[in-house]
Amino acid sequence: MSHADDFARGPVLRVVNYHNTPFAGADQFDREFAALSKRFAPVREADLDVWLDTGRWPHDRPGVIPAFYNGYRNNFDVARPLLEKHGLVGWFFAVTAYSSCPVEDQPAFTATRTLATVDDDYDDPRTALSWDELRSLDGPHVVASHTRNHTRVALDDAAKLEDEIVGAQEDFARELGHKVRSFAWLFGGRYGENPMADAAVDRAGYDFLFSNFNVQRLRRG
Amino acid sequence: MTTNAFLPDDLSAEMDRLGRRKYAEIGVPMYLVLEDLTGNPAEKGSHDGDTQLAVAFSEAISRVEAEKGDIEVADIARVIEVLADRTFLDRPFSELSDEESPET
Repeated sequence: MSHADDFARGPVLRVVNYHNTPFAGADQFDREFAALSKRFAPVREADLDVWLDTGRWPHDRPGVIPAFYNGYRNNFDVARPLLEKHGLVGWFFAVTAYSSCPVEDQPAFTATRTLATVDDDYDDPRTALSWDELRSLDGPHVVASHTRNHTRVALDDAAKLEDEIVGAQEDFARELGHKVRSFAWLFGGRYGENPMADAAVDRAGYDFLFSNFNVQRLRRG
Repeated sequence: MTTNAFLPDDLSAEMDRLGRRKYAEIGVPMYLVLEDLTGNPAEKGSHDGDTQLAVAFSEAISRVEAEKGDIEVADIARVIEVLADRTFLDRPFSELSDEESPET
């Protein structure tokens, strides 16, 4: 099945992918969220369930997901208030060990992962969303998993896969009081490409997997 | 020559222009296809896909393939990015980053 066939068959979801949202870009993000909110409705995981269960999108306007990857602190301080100003729901794909990392160790953490930070946003070294911030986002917005360490893992390393996929979910359950439903693997891998990773995703209990070209609702149980 | 309103005349130039941006600090529109692996029968055949998008995507891929000789995953992603940039709003989403901030 080609991507063109996929688009024709649908359903097709609109997503805007963000990473850092620096203070210097706040006016731009304000314009973007204003334009998106005029045309599109906010999206939650329950909307995707309804869409797939009934074949009908449950709002009068199509939906858009502003997705924020890597769990950056400036997502909370810059993007969150602008999302709420315009009535949008952000999806925050956090990296759990980054949020758990002591502030003074965060520069070293990002330097050894594929995480880019902005130099001038803060006077202190914290660049990750804190768990308090994630708890505050959880509910008004969607908190989702983007692995535990945001590091490249050999796809045949069962222990590392377990740590990144299941371990991240354990962190969310401990800190938020519940599992999160959505997961995005690094570099956009799909469910169905790697049986070992798929088994870990199943054990973790995620419901949705975001990849480069798809959002897959997963089998449970 | 453009034959599809969703596509720019010079697709390669537009793919290059978008690809030069600082991705770590911008918003990038994308289309993702929702897929149900739960076996729920209500999903099958009950959705309207986006035929115009599918046609534009096919044409874009043909143009890139004709120019490059082959297609990589990154090309597919960039083609979808061009389509999303030009179709989410009534003007290219990327133009919003070029505007001056309003006076307050």
